[in-house]
Amino acid sequence: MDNLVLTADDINTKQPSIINIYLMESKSELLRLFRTPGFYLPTLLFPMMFYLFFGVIFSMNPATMPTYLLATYSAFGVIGPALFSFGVGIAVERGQGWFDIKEASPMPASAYIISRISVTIVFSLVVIALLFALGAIFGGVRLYTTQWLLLAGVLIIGSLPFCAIGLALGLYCKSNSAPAVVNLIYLPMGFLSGLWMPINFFPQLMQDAANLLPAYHFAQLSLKVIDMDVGANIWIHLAVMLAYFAVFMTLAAKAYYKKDKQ
Amino acid sequence: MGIPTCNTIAAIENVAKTYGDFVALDNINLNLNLNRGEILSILGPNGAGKTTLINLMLGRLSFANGSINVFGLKPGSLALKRLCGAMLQVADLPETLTVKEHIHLFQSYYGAPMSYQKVIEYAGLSEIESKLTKGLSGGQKQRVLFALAICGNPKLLFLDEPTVGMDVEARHALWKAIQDLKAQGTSIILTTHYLEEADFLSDRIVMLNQGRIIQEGSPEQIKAQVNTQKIRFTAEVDIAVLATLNSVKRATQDKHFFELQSSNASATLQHLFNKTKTVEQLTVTSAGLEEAFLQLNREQNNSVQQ
Amino acid sequence: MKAKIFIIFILLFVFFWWLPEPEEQVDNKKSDVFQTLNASFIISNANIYDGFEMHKSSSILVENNRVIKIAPSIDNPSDYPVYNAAGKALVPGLIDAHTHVWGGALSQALNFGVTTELDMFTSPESAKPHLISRTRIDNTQQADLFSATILATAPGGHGTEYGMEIPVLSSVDQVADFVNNRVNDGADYIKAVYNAKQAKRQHFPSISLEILEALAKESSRQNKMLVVHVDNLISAKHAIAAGASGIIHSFMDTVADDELIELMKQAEAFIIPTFAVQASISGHSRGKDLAEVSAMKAFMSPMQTQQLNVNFANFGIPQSAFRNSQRTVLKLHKAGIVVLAGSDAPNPGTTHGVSLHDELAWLVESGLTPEQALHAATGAVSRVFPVGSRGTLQPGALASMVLIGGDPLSNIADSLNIEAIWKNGVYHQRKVYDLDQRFEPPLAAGEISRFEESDELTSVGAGISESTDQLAGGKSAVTKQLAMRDGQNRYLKVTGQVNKGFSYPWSGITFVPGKSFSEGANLSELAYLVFDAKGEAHAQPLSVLLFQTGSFTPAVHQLKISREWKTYKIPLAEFEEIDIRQVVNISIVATTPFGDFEFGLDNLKFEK
Repeated sequence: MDNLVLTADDINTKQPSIINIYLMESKSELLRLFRTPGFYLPTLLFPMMFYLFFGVIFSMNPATMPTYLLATYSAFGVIGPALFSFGVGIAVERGQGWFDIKEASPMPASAYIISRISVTIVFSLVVIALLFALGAIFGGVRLYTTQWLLLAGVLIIGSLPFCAIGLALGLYCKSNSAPAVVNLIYLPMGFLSGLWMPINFFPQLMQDAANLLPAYHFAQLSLKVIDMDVGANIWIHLAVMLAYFAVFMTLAAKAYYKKDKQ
Repeated sequence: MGIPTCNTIAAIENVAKTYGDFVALDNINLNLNLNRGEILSILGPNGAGKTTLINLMLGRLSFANGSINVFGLKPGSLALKRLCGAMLQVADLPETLTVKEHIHLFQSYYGAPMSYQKVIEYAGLSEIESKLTKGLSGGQKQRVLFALAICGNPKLLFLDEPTVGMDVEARHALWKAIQDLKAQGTSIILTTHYLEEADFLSDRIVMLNQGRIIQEGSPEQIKAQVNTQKIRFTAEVDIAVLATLNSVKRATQDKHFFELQSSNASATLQHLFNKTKTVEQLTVTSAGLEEAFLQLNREQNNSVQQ
Repeated sequence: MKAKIFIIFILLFVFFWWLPEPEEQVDNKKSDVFQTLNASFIISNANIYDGFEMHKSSSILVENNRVIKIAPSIDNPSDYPVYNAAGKALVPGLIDAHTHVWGGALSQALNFGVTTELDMFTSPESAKPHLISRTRIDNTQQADLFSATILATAPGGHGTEYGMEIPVLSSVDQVADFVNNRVNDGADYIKAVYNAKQAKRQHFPSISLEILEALAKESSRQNKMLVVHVDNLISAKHAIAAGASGIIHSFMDTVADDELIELMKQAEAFIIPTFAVQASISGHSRGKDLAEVSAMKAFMSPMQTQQLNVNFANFGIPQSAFRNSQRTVLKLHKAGIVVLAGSDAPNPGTTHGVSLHDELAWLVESGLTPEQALHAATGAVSRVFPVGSRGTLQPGALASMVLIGGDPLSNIADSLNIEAIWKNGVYHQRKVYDLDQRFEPPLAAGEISRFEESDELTSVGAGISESTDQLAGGKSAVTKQLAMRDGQNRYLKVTGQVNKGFSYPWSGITFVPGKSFSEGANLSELAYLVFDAKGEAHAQPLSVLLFQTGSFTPAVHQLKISREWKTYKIPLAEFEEIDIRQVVNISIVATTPFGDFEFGLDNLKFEK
């Protein structure tokens, strides 16, 4: 019998296509999403329900409120899948030991992240499309096509820091505590950042405190598109969101490449 | 490429692994020389360090000192992972994909995966390939994991307790698959605490206990190290007498049959025939791996206690 | 896979393309363009109707507020701003030949492109300032007014029922003085109300035929034309025969006969049918429909909407009678008699501006072509009444004109599709009313102050304070204090000086009816502001000014107070220019003459 001696050929022959891996991984994530109505239904319906409720039916000012809240509830609706798909999804896979299988397999780490980000984007697009349609039909929201597009773009790009936060949470939290932890962050942060009602309804102290929250800056960026933000410098919002992205990506990378998990 | 060509697939030098006070592996030195199509079993009781050793080679655990390389590559590197397949002990599979989708996904990780049909045949999944993994039995799930481990046509396959939770029939089917793979030239590192499994499949065995290698060699070599033979018969004799026979280490009674463990079968038999003429249905066999295992573990534990 | 992704992208594209955009903010965006078109500018490629004829796809040059010329193309050496009005129509500012003007009528009219209003009865006091301001080129915020001032009627005749004390005619001797007084009031023509003794319907007492003839003679002597209100055929004949220049209102008792046609032809007399008000009298409720037309709603004051929604008290006139009136007008028109457009706004069911457009529609429905109808509100009026070149775009005319989207010469309804209005060559930004605005709950009637305890505190609102033009940089001064009215009661004594310094000097006191100086009070359910007043001088002029939130232009009511204490009742309906539902302050001030003044106020209150 031959000795199990590696030749250069063994290693070089046929590298897998990284693009194909991304596609396959994304497809699997997407299938997973489709087959989990318990996840996607509430994640879709909650922002829609809230928006209809506060933005349309009980709107305090029918002229501006539906437009304002369309931006903030869209932000809210986009943060949800980012946090949950990463945070809870990864924590659960880790709990199952499935993450170990993935880790031992030759799946590149980037495929894991990129597939989830692309699925989050697809999901965000659905959330955005539904909310936009609600706003347009029931809220009487009228924006220029460039604004609609820009708003959708800002919402999608702006979800990245929340993907990073979700990723870090997913890698640090235990599977059974992850949903609670994510909800504990998601809901209060949404409220305190003015995603549920305009920030200027809050006492000044709370408004100042909101500056620390990434969701506040996300909302302000979205509101800037429709000219309804509080008027702070756009670079401040971008810088804070970038900082959150960098910090949580670093934390996540640390957790991912850390061995001896559990 | 700078890839060292060597016969040693894995070189483990002075590697220790502790979890707090618990010593999982204690200065292991192990050079695994394995040929194409050979199977190495890592054998040991629960907690002996088998899984730790596999995870070290997969690069999933850090270690304090020493060095490990597999194929001369760093554990955990993508280049190495692409040469390997691993079947680990997993609590559950993601339930939202079908068997087929799982396999296709894992195939995409490799440059030259095994054909889908072959994977299905090896793992015996042809009847459940389009089922969601949600409703599968434990044994079926193990087979799916096996399929995922082999679907990349690995040069080296790690199987961590592959037949846990399987019924006898499924276990034999898996053994068959492992043997087929071996015949294809796949080298396999297997951990198990089923002695029968190691005995049946292995070309070489490494026995671990309490983080140490206590024996290493082919199954025959290991068994030979334990020079005990088993003498079985019926006779009209008192068991107390039997225990006093020459070279007898242990005497037991099983209904009509007596069993003697002897370090020198011929001396014992001479003595036995001197004592009684009623011996019938006599068989003498060499010790199985199980006896060897139990004995070796006993010795190990004694030495630790001392 | 690729196909699926492609389809998804297409769907996304379609979705974002479908998402609704804001409606073109016509007013803001376009007005930005129009704002530059002031005094000197060119409008090119418009279908220009100059009051007499159509100039298809032509350009008009406006220079120093006046029309210079209309031509197929115009050079632009001075680099004036040019507006390309391709596909749009430009018509002269419209003239409403029959209205009654007070309050905010003239600005309401302008808001709908009516740049001249012929008044057929109002008080000389309220007409006078407007009769003066129409001569000014900067009179760009309201329509120009021409007026008959007080009409000539019999004691108890039509015109006396409105509660305003007016001189009446019971004998021929009074005629010369009457006409003379009207001329002194600044009347541009004389209006009489006449009903022949022979008429079947005797609704009101009427002046006699002799008085009517005397009026015609005397008017002619004073170079004024006489127009006569009639409501039946026989009266119309009398009026023309007596020497009237024209008759007001077509009549509904019967259709005009050849005799009348012959009379009118010989006299070259005209008729102002006033279909808008006749339709309202005979039970057509077009006013209500007009009030609901969304393109117009936003440009109407709440008062105007209300006016359109009011019904005439039931006169029992059937719609068939209105058909008589329509037939008469068509018959006269076909015989070559001049027909002029007049609405008789603001009678119930009509309002300034809007109802003239309705009158145009009625003219067309009665058989005139759209062009003839437009002529009746433009060039035709300029030929009959002494309004100069108003109603035309002839060279030299002040450029009062309306840009209309569409083609009113083939579809008269397009006349309401107003895109821009110029008054005297200046672009007029149409006033837009916020229909969804919320107001404070209406104030109830009651005392404001009896001026017994305090010269500042009031029972409603945020009190009374001194107010002068010093706020605007003027130099007038004022002090107020409580003083004894008789043995027991006190009143508010206001003394001060009106001094030169600000263009519109004032000095007096101001009352804040709302909770604070910034919150407007809702006076919509109140009818009168009532107070006792006395002046130091005889017939001392006093102005009551109402300011609306966010506006610095008050609505003004002027009165003259006597030296004795007397109670004055100011109808709040007078203050139409402002929204009565958001009044920030009510000022009672002296404005003229310059110098020292003193007046007293007491028992200030609101009444229903």
